[in-house]
Amino acid sequence: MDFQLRSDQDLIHLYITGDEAGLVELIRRYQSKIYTSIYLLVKDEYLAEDIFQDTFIKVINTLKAGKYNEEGKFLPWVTRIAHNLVIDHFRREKRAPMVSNGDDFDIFEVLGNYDESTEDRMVREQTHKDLKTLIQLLPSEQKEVLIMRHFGDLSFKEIADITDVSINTALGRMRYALNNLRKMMQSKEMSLKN
Amino acid sequence: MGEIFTNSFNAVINNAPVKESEVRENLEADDLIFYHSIRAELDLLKKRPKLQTIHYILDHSKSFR
Repeated sequence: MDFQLRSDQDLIHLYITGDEAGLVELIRRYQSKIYTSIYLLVKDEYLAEDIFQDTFIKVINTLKAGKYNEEGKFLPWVTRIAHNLVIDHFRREKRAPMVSNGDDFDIFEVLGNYDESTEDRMVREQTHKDLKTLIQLLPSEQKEVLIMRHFGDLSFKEIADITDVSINTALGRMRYALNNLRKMMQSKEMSLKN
Repeated sequence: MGEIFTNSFNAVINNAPVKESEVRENLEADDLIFYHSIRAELDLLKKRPKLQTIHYILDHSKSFR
């Protein structure tokens, strides 16, 4: 039986009816998307491992309890669970996961702080490391949408549902995220030609 | 005549309810070009959890038997 060709719904059904291979394939299929999304939000490998683990434990408990709504798609559902666990973590920690969260966010203020501490490192690091750093400088709502869209491979409709905003707001946040990244890269004279 | 048509047309457009499901899930051309230019770099940021974490999850699942 080639599990890689099975739909998510088939794999869930297999798992619920006792075939562990269904879960193994679902994890194999989405581990990178879900783990990267969590990691980029919490910026800590150990914490990301914990939240990833807790996410799938919730998934397993829900599936085994027969409470999974088959009308929903699997990845957006798991992403929503992971997203809620990340929010819970930051609520517990009572610290913001970003440089600025307000509407008056000014990318150039951030760049000012950024210059002082990491300019030398910026020159040496590879471009993808720089980009990772720049993503972390985005306001959390913008970072969230960028991560869910690119790494979670979610539609703007799905992102809007998970973050409880309209599609237009989700789309607008993505535009702001891209614009801010572009401004930061221009300011740093970063090139993506390599 | 043209002005009447334009006014009527604008009135219809401006007052038409926009369903969220009908909103195009697309970015502006500039945004898309930039997004595609950084996609490869974004992909390099992808990471995977440790095998140990996966094993813990699968062990939890097996405990339901």
